[in-house]
Amino acid sequence: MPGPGRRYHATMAALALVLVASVLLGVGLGAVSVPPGTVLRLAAWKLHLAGRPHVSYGTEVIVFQLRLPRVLLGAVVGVGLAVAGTLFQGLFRNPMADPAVIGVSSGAALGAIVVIVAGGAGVLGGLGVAGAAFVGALAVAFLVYRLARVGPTVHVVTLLLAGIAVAAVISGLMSLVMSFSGQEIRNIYFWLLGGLSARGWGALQVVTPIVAAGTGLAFLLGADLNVLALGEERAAQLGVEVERSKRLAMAVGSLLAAAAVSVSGVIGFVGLMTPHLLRLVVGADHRRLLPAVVLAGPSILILADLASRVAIAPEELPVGAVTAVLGGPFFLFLLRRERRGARAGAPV
Amino acid sequence: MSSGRSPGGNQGGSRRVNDAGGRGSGLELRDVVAGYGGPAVLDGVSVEVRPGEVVGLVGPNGSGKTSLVRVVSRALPPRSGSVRIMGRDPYGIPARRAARLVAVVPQELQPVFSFSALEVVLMGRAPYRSAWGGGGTQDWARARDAMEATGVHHLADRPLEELSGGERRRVVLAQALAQDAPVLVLDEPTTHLDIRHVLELLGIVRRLAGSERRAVLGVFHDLNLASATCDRMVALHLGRV
Repeated sequence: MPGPGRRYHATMAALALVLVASVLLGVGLGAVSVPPGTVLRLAAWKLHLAGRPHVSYGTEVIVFQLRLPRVLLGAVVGVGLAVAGTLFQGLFRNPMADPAVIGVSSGAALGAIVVIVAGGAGVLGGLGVAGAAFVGALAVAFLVYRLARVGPTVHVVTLLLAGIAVAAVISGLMSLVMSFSGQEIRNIYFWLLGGLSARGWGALQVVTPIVAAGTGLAFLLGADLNVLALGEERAAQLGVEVERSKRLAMAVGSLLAAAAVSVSGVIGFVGLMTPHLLRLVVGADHRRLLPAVVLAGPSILILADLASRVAIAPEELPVGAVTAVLGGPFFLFLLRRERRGARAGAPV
Repeated sequence: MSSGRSPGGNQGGSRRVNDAGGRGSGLELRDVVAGYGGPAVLDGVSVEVRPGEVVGLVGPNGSGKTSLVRVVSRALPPRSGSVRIMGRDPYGIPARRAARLVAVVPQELQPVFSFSALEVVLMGRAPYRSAWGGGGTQDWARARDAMEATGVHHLADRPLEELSGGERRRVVLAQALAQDAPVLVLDEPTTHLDIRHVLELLGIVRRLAGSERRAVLGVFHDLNLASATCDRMVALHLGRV
């Protein structure tokens, strides 16, 4: 079967359709419903493909100023988190890894908060926050990796415990930093829970190029990640420069997680669930998995955000709460299966 | 973004593995001293394997067999002495280049994700791949050939973890063969394998050494099996030949 095969293309087409549907639903549903047809006609108008449709000015504002930037931000953050999760799972050779679970997102949040509290939120058009988030994320990724690694392997339990411990320390530090922040505290608190609301087009402009670049680099790492799944010694025998590939994967994963966190706070489990579900469909080959993850991650986050808006309307839940409610049980299920697998310990 | 071509790949009917162009051939270790910080595990070991030859390395546990495999596979630089693979020092060239010269057949392979047998064998083409070029036609062809040579082509789409011990071992061998390296190192090919599969595996290796002129160094625990398979034997005891 040379090439990706028909089934893979069909899967990708289906994922793309789901993504389009998610965007239309995300833009259309809410306190005021906008039918998908109207959304499409408005989009065609903005792209100079058609004349202005007969809709009220209010609808136009809702679509273009409120919902579309939010949905698109959800899509970009979804890509960032899902690709970061895929990279960390490959890097740690562990299907339980996720930027939030291993504390990388907390590290990014701490970096971002320090800059915000210091009054640097506007520095370089928001890039200051993203940069600090990256530094925090990278530091935690490196630390947790060093802590969790025992000999040639990264054990699930050690990884999770290291992640929890680091996240706890960071959470303490965040409280400390926030106590200096005065009136910013409510904003920071809401942002910490993970949210895509009221970010506007500006956040999108900051985060989209970073996520696009990081995703491109991740694609280049796909082949190496496959071989790394066989273990580092075997990967080296097969000609992979192991240390270089690992450092690169860690940097790119941290960059993507940091970009996502800097605009949306800590949203957990998207990076865990997305690669996992798609491995069941397209297989473990990262060169096939990553493009599928790029299509599915945004759908998952857009739909989770939609649920957060309509579940208890007119009130809004933080989207991080929705992904946690969905992802937590999934995580526990995986943990149980991992442990059972470890006990059976079938050697190859 | 060219698709992965393999400069050292083989075309046409009579396949020959990579040739270093007359700068020496096969595997040559001279007075190798190596270890892990403490006393030397290998203390002046010299071994030579010529193309088409199967040499067995036997010795009890702790005699330095595994260390020798690691020295050859570019994982343990010798403190003194020289390693030459097709006339080249593997420690003086990038990992990719070295992986085109020497292929190791490990004792076991435990990928953390579920890969199909074909995907595992295709990873043997990693040394020839550019970052993007995945399934270049030549890579697929070589993976297919390797799987036919070891009799696992019918298992291509099966997940590795579902295969039997003997089948998995032959998939791993196919992965190493797909590397197209003129030197092949077998790391204890007989452990955890019943005798029928062992003989089958060694028969394949024996045939390949003859037909493709590969230089094969096999590390054995079992003297009888080694003597039945190999042209020559080297006994390793306490780091010495």
